[in-house]
Amino acid sequence: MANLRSLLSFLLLALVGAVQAISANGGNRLLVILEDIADKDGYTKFLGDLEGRGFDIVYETPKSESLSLFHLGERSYDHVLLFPTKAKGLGPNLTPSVILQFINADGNILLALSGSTPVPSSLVSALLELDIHLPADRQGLVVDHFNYDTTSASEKHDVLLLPTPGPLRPDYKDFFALSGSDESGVIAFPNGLGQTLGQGALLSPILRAPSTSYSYNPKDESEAIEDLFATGSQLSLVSALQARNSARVTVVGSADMLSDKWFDASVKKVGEKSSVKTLNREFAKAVAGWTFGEIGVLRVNWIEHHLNEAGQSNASNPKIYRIKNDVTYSISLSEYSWDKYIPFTVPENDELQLEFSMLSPFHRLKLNPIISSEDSTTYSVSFKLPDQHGIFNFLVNYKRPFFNNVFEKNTVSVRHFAHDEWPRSFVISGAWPWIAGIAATVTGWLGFCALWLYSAPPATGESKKKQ
Amino acid sequence: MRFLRSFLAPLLLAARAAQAASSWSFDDATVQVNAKKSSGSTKEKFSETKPLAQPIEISDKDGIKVLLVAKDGGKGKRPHQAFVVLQDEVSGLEAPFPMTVKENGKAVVDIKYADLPIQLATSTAPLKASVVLASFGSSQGINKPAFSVTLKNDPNTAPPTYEKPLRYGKREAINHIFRDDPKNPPKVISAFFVLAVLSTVPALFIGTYELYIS
Repeated sequence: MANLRSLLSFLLLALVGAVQAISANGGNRLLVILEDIADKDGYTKFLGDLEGRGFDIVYETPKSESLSLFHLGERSYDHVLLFPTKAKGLGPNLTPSVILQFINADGNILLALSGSTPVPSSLVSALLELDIHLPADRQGLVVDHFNYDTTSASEKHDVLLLPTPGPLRPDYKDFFALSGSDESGVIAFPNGLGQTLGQGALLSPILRAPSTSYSYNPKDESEAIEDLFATGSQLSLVSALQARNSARVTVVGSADMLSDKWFDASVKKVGEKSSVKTLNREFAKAVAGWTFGEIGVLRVNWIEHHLNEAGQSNASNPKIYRIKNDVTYSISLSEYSWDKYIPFTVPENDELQLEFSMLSPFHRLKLNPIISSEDSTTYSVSFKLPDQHGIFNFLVNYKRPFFNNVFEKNTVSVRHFAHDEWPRSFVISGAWPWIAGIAATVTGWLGFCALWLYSAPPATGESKKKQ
Repeated sequence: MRFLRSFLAPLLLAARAAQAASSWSFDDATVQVNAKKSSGSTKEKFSETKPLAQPIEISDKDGIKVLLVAKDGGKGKRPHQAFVVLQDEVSGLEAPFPMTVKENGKAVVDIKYADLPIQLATSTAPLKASVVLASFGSSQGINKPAFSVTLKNDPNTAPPTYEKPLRYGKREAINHIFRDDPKNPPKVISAFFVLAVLSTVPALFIGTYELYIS
């Protein structure tokens, strides 16, 4: 009965967890901020794709009085999409602190900039807080005289054609590889503003500029560039930030690349004869999908640890273990992919690691996949607890760019051997002389007593003599 | 398809050749080491087709000066992009140094050791320098390797150190090292002492007996 009840409560918990996870990741209230609401006609395909994936879009302008990211201290929207606006500031509803507060409240932001309009100063300071730097004067244009589109920008060279980005590092999962698209396609990056990123581990570039490109101020009339903002791969064209609370901010340097004009446009790279299709639609889907939590969201379904010793109880998640116990730890993980949970597979060259730690880790072990179901993978490892008693944590701290943070800590006590858990003394050969000593003393004492008691008084005369 | 491609390739080449008429180039290119110390400055020439074979060596107080004349279709002109790019071949990191260009295409840049980003200054491999000249319009830009630089650290000063920023990734595995289990001496020795201890019992009884008898 008790078993059944625990099973039921476990199922109920799992259900609640699942419901929470879906509403946390798939919150669908999207606020789109445009200079003029009529501007949305330029982005019908992009916004239509978002609507088709179930987002509930509200359009506002920065000047609108009803615009507010919070209502009674709660977020009014789950995601914000900002298109470039001409005004210098964004008004009292979108101050840098409101934007940061929105991020702190787990809101996601997709920010589209443009090379032709200066960035509002409120966004510049908000980005500066995130260690994303924009060119001085809030304006810049990325050009590349070696990788431009000859059909549309033969003179200005400001339409960059880029191959699809590979993974940043071989052990990262490649979310932006644009699977299902033909290899010949390129990403067009028209009229864009490049950013440079700080040193932080939370920032990662999604799309980097080619090595011969550079950013300059188009307002600067001089023929040659004097002060250089950044060049080459230092220049990030699309950059991502995932905060510690897993809120996501993506800066897309070119709003035009999301526009209908550049979705499935036909472009011709300099020096090449044939024109190719742009992959902007697929790329925009991947970038928006990642930002709004449709991909790269991990969920921990359950965690279980138990004794792994023959003949011992294997109750789940005991509060206390003994030193040198053999223990098995398992964790079940799912990954959200567009509309459903799929089993999470650790990228190649990467590892999911379990730490068994008290202040510092005593063990850091690789968790191996053991069971894979339709929507989850169970990772598990068996090990011997260290010979140190104290309060320990089973800790899984899986932080990777583009995956939300997994931080799971389960505390257990580890006690010493109890007095009756040691080997018996006669098993220890080194103790034999001592045991023999006890035996000798006991025998000697008993013998002495026996002798004492046995001693018959000698013949009386003799004894008297003696006395 | 392959046939078509093989047919197209010469066409493309021909097109390239036709375009080459208006492309960027440079001339009278020299690189010299500005040494603080008395060793004087060495001046070496390179060209588009012939980069310097030997790497030039600079120490931590020196700098290099690159001079060239940028030309568009054979005529001196100012390009919008005139960089000397230093690249660390091992890590692939690059640092651009924009040149100061005059109207007639004369370009100069001074690169001091101190101007190098720390990631390049700590590089052990030679830095590859290339010249990038390009501008708006239809003229083709060029990006040509020019020379390479080896960095020589003064043994008297501490070499610059660079600490890599934190990046998330898998960490080194740790396996707890257990203390040794308690060990027993050889059983022969224990047995010997057991016998020694046990032999006191008969000794005791015999001793007592002897005492009483006497």
